[in-house]
Amino acid sequence: MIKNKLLLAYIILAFNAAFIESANMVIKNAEIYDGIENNSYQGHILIREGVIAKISKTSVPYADKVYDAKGKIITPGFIAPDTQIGIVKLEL
Amino acid sequence: MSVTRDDESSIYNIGFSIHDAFNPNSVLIPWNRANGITSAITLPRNTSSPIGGLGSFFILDSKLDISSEADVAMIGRLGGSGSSSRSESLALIDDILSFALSLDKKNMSTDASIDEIIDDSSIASYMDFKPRDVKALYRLFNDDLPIIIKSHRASDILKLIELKNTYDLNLIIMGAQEASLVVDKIAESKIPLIVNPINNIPNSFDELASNINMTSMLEKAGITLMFNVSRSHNYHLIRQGAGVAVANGMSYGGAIKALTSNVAETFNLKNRGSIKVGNIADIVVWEDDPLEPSSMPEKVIINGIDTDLTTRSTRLRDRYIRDLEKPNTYRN
Repeated sequence: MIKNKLLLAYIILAFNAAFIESANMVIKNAEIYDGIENNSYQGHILIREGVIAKISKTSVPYADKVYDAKGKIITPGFIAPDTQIGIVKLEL
Repeated sequence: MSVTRDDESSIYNIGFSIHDAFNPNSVLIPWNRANGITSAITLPRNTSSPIGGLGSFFILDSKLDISSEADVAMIGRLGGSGSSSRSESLALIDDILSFALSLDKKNMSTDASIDEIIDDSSIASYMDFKPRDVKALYRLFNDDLPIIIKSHRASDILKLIELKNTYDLNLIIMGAQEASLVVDKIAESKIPLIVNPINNIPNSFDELASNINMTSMLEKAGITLMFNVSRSHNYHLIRQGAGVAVANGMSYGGAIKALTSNVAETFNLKNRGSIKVGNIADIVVWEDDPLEPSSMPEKVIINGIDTDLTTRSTRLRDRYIRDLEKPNTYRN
């Protein structure tokens, strides 16, 4: 009986771990303009649970999903400070 | 076709908020997202008052469960459009700010007590303020709410600097096409600017000193810059503007900041606008130079989620390149 409970707990833990891992992603080999420094740098970005968890300039962090951005430029998402997006259907 | 104008109000002015009218299913959102815009500040059209209306911050992920920050900035204007009197506007702005400053010592616990404050003030009564207008004004000085004033003429910019100093306003100037004539004064006042780097042709008598090198001069003076475009559906063209700014002397890294972290810092958008550990993952992977309009994102990640880059335009394109053996009517 105890053995079965331990087995069930192990299965639940393994399932949860897999679920959390699937929310992870690494973007590797990118030229990063981080919005802080004026110059870019080469690096790898680990995203975990919606947040930037790690930025590495050397080894590639482990993640479930890997996206190779070699030769690509990475920036923060752009923020438009003066729009009417979402409230105007037609420009009149 | 019947449409509403959700960007204006005939009842409220200063406290008019567009936040609750936001439509996350707007077709403009996927279009701008697929061009690398992951969030935006949506502003109301100016009301009759020279100060009026509150803008909100929205995440452009097209989810009905909207991610947003309501009422992050107030909007106003000074100068040259229509038949409005500049001298009247300046006096009105001064009177409204003076009223706002006096609210600190008033009882604002209920709408009834705010109605009494309005009744006791000649300017608030004349402007027909409602309690939500007064609450918004209270935030100007008690929450350090940013106020964006649209203005172009150099002499108006100097007047706005005076107002900022008098009232200790968290002021942002938008437009500022004659900023190059008063660079040192703006730098000294630490007022951030929202400018359109492409605008080098005067659209009014307030903009006669417009020039294409302005962003470079402003950056060298240490002024915080952000970019906008002429009112349009294509807000993503701010990156084209950034490219034009770089072509005319602005630094590349500075232009990227103008599109990202400068906006986040100016409007106090926590944990966004830059790639650093602990920040929310709003990240774009570009196939090539992001300041080149023909270069498109390969991947747009918002709140850590890889978003769909399908737009109405791509669906329309695909309709005409698939199932070519069928007549047009039978293609989906």
